[in-house]
Amino acid sequence: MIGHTGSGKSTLIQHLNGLLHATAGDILYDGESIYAEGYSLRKLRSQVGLVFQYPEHQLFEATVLDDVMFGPKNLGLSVEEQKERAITALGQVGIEESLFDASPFELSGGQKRRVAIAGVLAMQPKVLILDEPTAGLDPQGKKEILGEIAKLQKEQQITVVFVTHCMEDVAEYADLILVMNHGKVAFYDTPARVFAHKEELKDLGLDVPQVTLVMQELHEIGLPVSADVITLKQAKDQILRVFAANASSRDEEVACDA
Amino acid sequence: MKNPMIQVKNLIYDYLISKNEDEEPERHRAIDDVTLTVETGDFIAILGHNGSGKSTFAKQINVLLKPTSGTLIVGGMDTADEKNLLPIRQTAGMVFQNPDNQIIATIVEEDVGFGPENIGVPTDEIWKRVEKSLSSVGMLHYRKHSPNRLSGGQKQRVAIAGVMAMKPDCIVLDEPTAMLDPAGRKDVIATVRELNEKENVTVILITHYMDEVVFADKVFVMDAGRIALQGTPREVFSQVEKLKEIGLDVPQVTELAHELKEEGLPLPDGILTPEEFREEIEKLWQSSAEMSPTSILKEADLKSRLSIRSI
Repeated sequence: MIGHTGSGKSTLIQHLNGLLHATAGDILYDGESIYAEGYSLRKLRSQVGLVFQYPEHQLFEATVLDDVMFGPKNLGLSVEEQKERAITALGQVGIEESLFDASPFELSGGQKRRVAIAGVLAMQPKVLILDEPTAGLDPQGKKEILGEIAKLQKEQQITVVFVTHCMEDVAEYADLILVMNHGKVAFYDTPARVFAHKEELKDLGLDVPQVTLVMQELHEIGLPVSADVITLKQAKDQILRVFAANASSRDEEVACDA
Repeated sequence: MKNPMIQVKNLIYDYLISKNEDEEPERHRAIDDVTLTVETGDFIAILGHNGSGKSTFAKQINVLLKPTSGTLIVGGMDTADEKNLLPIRQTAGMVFQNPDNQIIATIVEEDVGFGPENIGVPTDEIWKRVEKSLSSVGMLHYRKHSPNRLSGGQKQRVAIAGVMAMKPDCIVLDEPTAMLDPAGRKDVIATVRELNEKENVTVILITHYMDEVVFADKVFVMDAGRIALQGTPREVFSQVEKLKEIGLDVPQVTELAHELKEEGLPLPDGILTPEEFREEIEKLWQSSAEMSPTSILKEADLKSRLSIRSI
């Protein structure tokens, strides 16, 4: 989910687990209205996990393990189960066992962020919603966290919704992009299709990935590359292909001349 | 010859971490023997991953921290000397990451006037400075607004105006765009570049975003408290492998150009912007289209260097 500051992204996602109640309209989860009479919001929240911006500000227990066990504890699970889930969740975000007994406040920024995400994963949600999960992290930390989330999505079949300002991350990880603008959905489509609207996105205060931009421009000036490239690998393959084809077609011409 | 804005010589800074009261505190070296010079009027960028020492270094310039050993001279003043504290803070202003932590007043113009008022600038002069600083960051129109209603990028520009109102020779910005959206990032960087170009303010920009540093006069890359790489952006970004080793990214087009070059396309090192990339590819394309049979050798060479896979 992308959109400039104030476009409504954070407000929208807070509806998805019932934190905010819609003024009008309906939300269906698994085919059922979450506003239906008697619908258990508690159950919804155990299945739709929401990770806020800067979630590390919400760490509060004395140890990393206790902090991650807090969610399962609230689900009423036994201490054994709480522990088991916490250990699994911490493993999923790549926190080593040696840190389990550390105070969350001794950890680095990236580690804290991961512990906070583990706290939500320990609820074993079916849907994971993250509001700018990589804000403030360095490139390495960012790559690691997104890599771990992508792995969860693939291996555990968790549905992931993440809010970001980084178009390169969208191109790399997302199946679909939702673009918010002034509280409305401006686009909801595959990254390649959405990034084709370069000018409209610019008007919304958004970018396209650098590689998309240059490939669109190369396409416009007549290079036989496609304009819907969104990742570095695609761009590289296309450019190499174009130059290789050019070189071999001229080989043939020369052979005919001879 | 003008004096350098900042001179750093063999700077070392150790944090003391005490786990127990009775134990000897542990030493953690955050800055490890850094020597560098920043010339007046330069736009300097400092890159590095979290914990590389770049923010600690920024705090040294503003005397929020003092060297454990070595010297740091800002505008000709030694930061170790107590009496230089206030003059140095007026010389080198600082802008932090979180815009919400830096704004204190309820009206934009009062926030910007807070600094000069604190150092006893006469009221007339304060208003002049407020007006000038707000217009230099393109926020004059918002002078009567409440800062709470501004976007993150606008708040950061107000914070920068607040620093400008102190008439500093140098501004240190510690990840000023980390919490902003793309439009806000662009506005802040454009503002900083303009202050550097038009007002000749020395800029030290600390950031994770590589695309923000391509316009810098000089880039320093910090790793484990040391300067790991330094040079013009082009020189630094030519070292794609080394930057990746340190855990940093290069701009996407720089990486693309680097990978294409590895595959044999004759591209120059250190392409920094999408414009440069497009121009270079276009040139290459035209020259390959116009190539005459006599240059076939060169062409064959290009072809063999292009590891052509069966497509």
